[in-house]
Amino acid sequence: MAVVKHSSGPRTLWSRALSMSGTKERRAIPSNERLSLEGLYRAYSADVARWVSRLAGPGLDRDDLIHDVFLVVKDKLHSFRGDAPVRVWLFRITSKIVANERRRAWRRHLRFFGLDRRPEQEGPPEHWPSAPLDARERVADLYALMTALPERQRQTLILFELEELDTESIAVLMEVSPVTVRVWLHRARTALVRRVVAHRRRAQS
Amino acid sequence: MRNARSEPMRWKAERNPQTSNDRWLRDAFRAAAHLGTRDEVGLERIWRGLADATSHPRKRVARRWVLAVGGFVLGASTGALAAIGYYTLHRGYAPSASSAPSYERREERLRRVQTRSSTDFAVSPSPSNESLAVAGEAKVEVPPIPAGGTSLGSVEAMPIPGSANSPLHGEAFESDIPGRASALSRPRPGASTRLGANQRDGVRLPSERLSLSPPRLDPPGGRLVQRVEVSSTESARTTPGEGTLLAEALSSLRGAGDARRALERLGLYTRLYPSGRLSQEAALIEAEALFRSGDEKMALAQLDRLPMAEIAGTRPLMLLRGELRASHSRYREAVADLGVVFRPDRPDELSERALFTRAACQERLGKTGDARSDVEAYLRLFPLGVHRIEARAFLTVVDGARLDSTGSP
Repeated sequence: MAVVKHSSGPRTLWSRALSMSGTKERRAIPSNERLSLEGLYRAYSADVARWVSRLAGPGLDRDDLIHDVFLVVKDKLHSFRGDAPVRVWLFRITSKIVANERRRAWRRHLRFFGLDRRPEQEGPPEHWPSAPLDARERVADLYALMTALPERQRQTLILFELEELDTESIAVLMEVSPVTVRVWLHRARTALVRRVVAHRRRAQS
Repeated sequence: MRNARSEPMRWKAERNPQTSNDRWLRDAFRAAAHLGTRDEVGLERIWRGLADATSHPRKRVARRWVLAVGGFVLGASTGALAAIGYYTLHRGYAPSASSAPSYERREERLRRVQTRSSTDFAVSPSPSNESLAVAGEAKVEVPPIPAGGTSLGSVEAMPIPGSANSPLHGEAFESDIPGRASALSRPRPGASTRLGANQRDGVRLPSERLSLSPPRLDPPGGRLVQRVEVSSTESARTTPGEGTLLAEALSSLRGAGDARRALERLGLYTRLYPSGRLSQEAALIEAEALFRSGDEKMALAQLDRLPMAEIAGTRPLMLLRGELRASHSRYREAVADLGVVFRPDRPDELSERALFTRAACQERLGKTGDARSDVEAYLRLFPLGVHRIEARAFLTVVDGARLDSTGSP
């Protein structure tokens, strides 16, 4: 159990951290400044699981990624100074974990020439109980097209389209300005449209 | 305040997509929005696994152990390689350069050192305790068996090794401790036999030339001379240390063959360090120097003063002292010394010399039975020994005398 001291302002660390989450009302806020792994997991595991699902896509094992995220949280909890909100800290950890895993998956894909893994075969069936086959294929194609985007633009696009966050919230999470988020979003959308056109043209031909 | 007009429209919120591409993106993002996430049950299962992993961090501990052991092995191997490299560079000696065994290389160095020396004495190079070796030779010239047979009265003709009045057919009594002194010569067939010059109490004493190799001082003996060359240059400026003085004495004694100079250095050592740590070694070197200078009596007196029981590797010294005592008619003490040297379970050169000399001493003491048993043991243990002819002749003489006394033909 790590003790995090917070010296700026009367607001506690938890209140400041949870102020970004938007779900402060339905979470139990600890009365003191202590941050524990279990408390963080209870408060943020749903957010982390959702970020992992959105960012990783259908090709990766989300349970393992969630597990890895909280292992890193456990290791780094004693060094967390509270300068940034806990939610931002967790998102940065999650995004890096997912990015690393995507790189590893890409290397595995290269190693076996793509014969051993196909994104549409990776998703466990229970994750897609009601999705029709064409929707699953379309989602797989969408993530395949977004793979070529730069990582920050990809994250911005996913947070905007799937998480339905506004640009200011995305800017807080990614610790950039809202204008930068809009620029990234514009570039990501433009590049994605271009890739969709090319993809559909290839599919028709 | 968020500017609503600056927010772009989301694809999945498009109600009337303009193009088919927009429609495709809308459908794709809507499908992706239904991408399932973990429910509460799934998250609880993940938490249980996480709690197990954090409460039993066996993998991390094992990883730390692997890193620690790997680092240790890497450091040790690097240190060993560095030591080998240092040794190879600074000693100019590569272990794999020569396939000869180490003792052969030491012998080669010893041979080179002895070749430079003009004396008959040898440096004892052995790094073991047995380096207190009698690395010299004891040449004894035995007169030929007089014509006309033998008699019991010729008991006094039983030669002490080196005795010159032996009635037996003599041959050169030379010793060559294997692997020690290259200056020693092997028994030469047809060696000249002549009477010795000194004779006491009817026993012709050998004109022995024995050499004494004192125990190694600090390093193995083979490197001693090299160290002397370095230290002798420094001794002129500063007060010489114990080791320096002894090394200079040894260098003078064995390198230059100057026993007088060696005795001078030893005298200086005695004055500077009357109770030095190397006093025993100094006494040994002094005994050798006295012996080389021809003063056998003083050498024997020096050896008499030495506590042999406290010095490691005294077996060769005991042999030398026993032979010297025998040559000075101190037969009982000689028998005691030679009895220590002789080992029936170790029939080496020292045992051979000690056994034959003890037989001679027993004969001088009138213990013919003991002398006979020693000679028989000598012939049994050393059938090709250098004194085998004398030993057989002695047995013939004793048996003939017995036959004569019983009246048999």
